[in-house]
Amino acid sequence: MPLSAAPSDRNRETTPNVVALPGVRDDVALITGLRAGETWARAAFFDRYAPDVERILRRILGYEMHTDMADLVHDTFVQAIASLERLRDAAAVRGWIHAIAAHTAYRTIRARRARRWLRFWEPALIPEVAVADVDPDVREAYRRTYQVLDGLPADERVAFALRYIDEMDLGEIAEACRVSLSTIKRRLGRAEARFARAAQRDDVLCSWLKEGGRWTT
Amino acid sequence: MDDLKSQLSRLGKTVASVSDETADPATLQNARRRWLGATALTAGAIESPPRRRALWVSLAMAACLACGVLLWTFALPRTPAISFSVVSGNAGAPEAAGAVGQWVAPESNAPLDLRFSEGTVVTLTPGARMRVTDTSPRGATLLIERGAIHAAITHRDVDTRWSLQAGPFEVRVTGTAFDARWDPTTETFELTMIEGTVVVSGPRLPSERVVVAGEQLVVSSTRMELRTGGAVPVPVPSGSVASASGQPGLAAPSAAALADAAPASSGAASSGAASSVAAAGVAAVDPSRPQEPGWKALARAGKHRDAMEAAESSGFSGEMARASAAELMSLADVARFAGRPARAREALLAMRRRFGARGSSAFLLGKIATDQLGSPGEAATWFETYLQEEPGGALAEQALGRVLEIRKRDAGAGRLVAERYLARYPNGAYAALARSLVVPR
Repeated sequence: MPLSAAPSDRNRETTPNVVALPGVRDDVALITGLRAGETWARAAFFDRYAPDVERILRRILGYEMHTDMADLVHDTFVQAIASLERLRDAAAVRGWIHAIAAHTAYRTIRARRARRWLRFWEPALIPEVAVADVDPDVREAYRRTYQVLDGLPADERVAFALRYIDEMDLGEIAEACRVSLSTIKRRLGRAEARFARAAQRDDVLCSWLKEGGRWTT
Repeated sequence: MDDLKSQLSRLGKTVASVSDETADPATLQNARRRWLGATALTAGAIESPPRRRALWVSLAMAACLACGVLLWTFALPRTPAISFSVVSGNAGAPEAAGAVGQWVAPESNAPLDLRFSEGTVVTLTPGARMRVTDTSPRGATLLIERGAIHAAITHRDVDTRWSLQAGPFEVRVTGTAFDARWDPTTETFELTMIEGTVVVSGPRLPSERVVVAGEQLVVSSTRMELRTGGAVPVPVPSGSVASASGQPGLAAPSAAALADAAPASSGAASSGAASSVAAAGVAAVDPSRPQEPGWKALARAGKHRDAMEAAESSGFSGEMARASAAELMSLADVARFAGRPARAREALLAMRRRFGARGSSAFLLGKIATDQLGSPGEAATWFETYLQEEPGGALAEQALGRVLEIRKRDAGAGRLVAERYLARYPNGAYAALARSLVVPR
């Protein structure tokens, strides 16, 4: 069949002139459009990756006061545009945007700690989670988990959250944290040990993690 | 240690499930509004301020903002909201002032125009009914109760804000010209983009959907389709206000029709709704009218605007379906010279689709995209297509030069194109520009 549409559309054709939604343009076309400053590309870029970005930020940072998640999501995309020219492989957009989201979360944690000394900017408190239909014990475990994570170094907290809360594999975490696989393994090991020690002193988390009668580190 | 990992995984899954429960749907909406509301961003256009200066920058911005708010509140005159008038296609019908909230509908078989003070024209086909629910200095909100409309939105600045509501669907207009149709009985919404871009939200759309020129979106309770490459407005009904006024850019409503340009299906609109309006357009042709010169004769005489009008009057999509490859090229030239780039694009795409045209058609599509449609990304893709199809063609140097001009704002990509250009055309017309982009090693 002769070429009928824009060149970037060739590979997604299923039946003539009709394609299923979504998947209108691949990542390469998206990045080309972004680099050219096209409006559709900005909208499509956001629509495609904002849910991932929001999920990563939320799972690393938790539900906290003083954090406007919409600001952080927006900030992540602004950072992405600012570093667009450094993206070598347009097909690797997902890993790239995940790394920027993880770094945004890391910076947020660091910035929040840096301003703890200011009395009128107290450290973010872990508030009650405003969710109905969630078991109070589960809700408490959630709250205490982030309380413990607050005591971890920022880089270990990011790695721990990506591994155990967001369930990324080690390769994905290494890419998101922009370190080698062996570095991320060491970092995760330290984070696990630190979390376990703190959780042993917490009556709620202790009971969650002691299932099976063993508690080893 | 494995026990610890499995216990942490179990706790992590629990935490993730609560985290997902706490997710606020407004977060993404707010972030998206900010993201799309910002001025056009391109790579390299944004620089993050050094963090140590962030606080001072924030304070300075807050002070500027406060001054701006005070100035805006007390000093600057307020821009009035746009107004509009209603003009019927009936001969001699007076122009009436439009009122926000008032339903409007054509009284007879003639279309009805809503002409806004900033230049936007919305045309209702016979049977359509709509109202303007809100106006502001930057745009208006339209509500279609039923039927098809054609909108040609005037963009005065980046902050232009137009939206269209049809049943449960909402269209945020970032583009310039489109057809929309809403059938409340079948709950079918159709949108055909002619120029520019819109963002659609509504049921069955998993998220807000961007629809660009040449695409048609059809959403109903039973199906959702995005069609590309052949969105062709149907002929202008005779008696159209726009035609009568002699404004070529204000074509009468063409319905959300996808006229597939494949020969087997040409002339058959893809949906019942589209075909009904198409039929109306055909039925409106008066056989007793004196025969006027065809578009081909007018094109040969160099009367491109008249030729374009003639092609529209006899049905542009029909003319395309009947045209040979040479005639399609002539039709594309007529449309280009008459200032109708979207029509020219349709004709060139039809050439490629039906006759397998290569080379110069890609170059022309790139030229139209960059010079007339303001779509540099698409233009670059078409110029690269030309270079692939005719690497040694007569226009190869021009095509590569055009790509260079488009990519020059992106330091990395611009340098790569510049190196390609200089390797092939060290003394070419764009050589000076290319050298300025090649960073000395």
